[in-house]
Amino acid sequence: MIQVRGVTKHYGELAAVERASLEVAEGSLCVLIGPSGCGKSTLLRLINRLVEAEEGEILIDGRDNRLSRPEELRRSIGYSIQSVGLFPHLTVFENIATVPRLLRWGERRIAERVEELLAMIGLEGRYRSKFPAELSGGEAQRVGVARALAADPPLLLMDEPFGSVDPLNRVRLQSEFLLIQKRLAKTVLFVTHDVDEAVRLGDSIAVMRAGRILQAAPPAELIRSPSGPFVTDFLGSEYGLKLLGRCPVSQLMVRGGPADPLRPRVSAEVSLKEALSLMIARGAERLTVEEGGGKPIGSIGLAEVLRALKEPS
Amino acid sequence: MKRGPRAPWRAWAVTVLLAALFLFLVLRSDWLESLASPLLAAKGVLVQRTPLYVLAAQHLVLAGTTSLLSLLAAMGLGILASFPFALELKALMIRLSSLAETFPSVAILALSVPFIGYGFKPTFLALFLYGILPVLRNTIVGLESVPAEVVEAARGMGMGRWQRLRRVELPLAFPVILAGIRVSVIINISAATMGATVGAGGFGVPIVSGLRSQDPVLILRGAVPVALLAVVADSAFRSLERFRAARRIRKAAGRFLA
Repeated sequence: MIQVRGVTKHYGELAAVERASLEVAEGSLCVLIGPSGCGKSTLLRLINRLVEAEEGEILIDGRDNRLSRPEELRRSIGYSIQSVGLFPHLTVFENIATVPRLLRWGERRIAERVEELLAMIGLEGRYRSKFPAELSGGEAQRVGVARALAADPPLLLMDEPFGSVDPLNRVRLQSEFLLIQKRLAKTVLFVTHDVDEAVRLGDSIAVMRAGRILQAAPPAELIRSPSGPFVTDFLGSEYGLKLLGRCPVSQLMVRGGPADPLRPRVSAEVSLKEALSLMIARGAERLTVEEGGGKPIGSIGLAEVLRALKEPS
Repeated sequence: MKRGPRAPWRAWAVTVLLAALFLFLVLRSDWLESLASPLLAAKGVLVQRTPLYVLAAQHLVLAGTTSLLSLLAAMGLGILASFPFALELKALMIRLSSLAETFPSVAILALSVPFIGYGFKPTFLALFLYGILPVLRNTIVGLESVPAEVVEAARGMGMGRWQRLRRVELPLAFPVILAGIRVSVIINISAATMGATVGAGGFGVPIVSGLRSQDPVLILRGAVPVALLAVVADSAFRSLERFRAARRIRKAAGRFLA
């Protein structure tokens, strides 16, 4: 758990972060979002003390982060950044092994752990001895995430970790990361300026502007009760649609019922956004929901879609 | 991975050939002279000759030890300059080193003789001081050129200042530093020739006496091997700098230092 309490940091006259307070619950993913220069990266760096706070305190699992040496603190927190920052002179294996080496793990344990992580990010085999220059952008980002996870830290700080890949690959990386996160349940603070990414990933979203946190809440609550016009404007007029992208059809469909052969069919795994898009495209108010095998298991209509935003997701 | 697999091998082969030629010349200097004597008027009989291999040894010891010492001093200073508290020191070093490059090494040599006398010592001092400059500048530049996000990642993962230097910054700056070492060694090899004017021995001895007695063959006796030695050193360092070689070294260095 991360608790940020009234933290302030100035760069010269400019307040990069001003009396910011934020809580990230154990095992949840909080997205920090805001326009560039709003202080979101600085807030992230205050947590692992790459930047030192002037005022306020930051508790990590209840413990003030100033109580440990900065280096030790950072070794216990996963850190992944936009430009990846892989060490160009080291192989994928050695890059991922960085923090375990700093923590003086045995070579055998390191090798096992790296193999495990490589399997998790789908880069097994010959990848281990490749150099960063030989990887594609998406592969490098995956290695960056694996490196952050290497010593199995309970906490993860991610500063636009998928920022430098093309949109298609970004969505893929996000889904992969969500699967990993579902399994590992790390406490994650994730910085982005991309609303789509925030909505896809965040259990909660904190909107920042000019060093202040304007509102921190679950994604659906931000649209139901925004704290002010900036939050609404920043999230954009399509935010409602984006929220639908979070929720799979299977969660809100009506199970059973007769399978009308004239209705278009939709897979249970796709999101409500895609289901809605299909309804509009086909002029249908109800869709038949089918399983992976093509067997109809229920139906979904506009009424259920409209309910989605009312329920906490 | 398949990029120019034979290229480093060839570069090394050229270096070895050149080195063999150098050895041959030094050990069988009569060969060069008998080749050159009919073409140029030789007067060598008048001079008491030191065997060429003795001169070669003096030259190598002089250039080698000064290069090694200036390398250590320069890297130490360069690393010191990379610390955040040493910003002013760094600016001073860069200014001093560009100033010093306009200052001929002959002048250092001439200026030090009145203080420490003739012979090996003033030459040693001049070469040592002069050899520092290229390595120092390249160490500073090399460390500065390490990408900021790589340094940031290293910090973020919990490396201390020394760990960052050892595991990340020095290995990445190594190719640039190596280029500085090459320049420094070659400067020292050629500048060591001047040591002969103050009695430090080396290949400069036949050159100086050849000039004095207007004997071109005697001049060649010193000039050809010293030129060849510089070429050998240059070729050896360039082979080291070659992409794959450099990468292998960086990898090896990374393991060795980790």
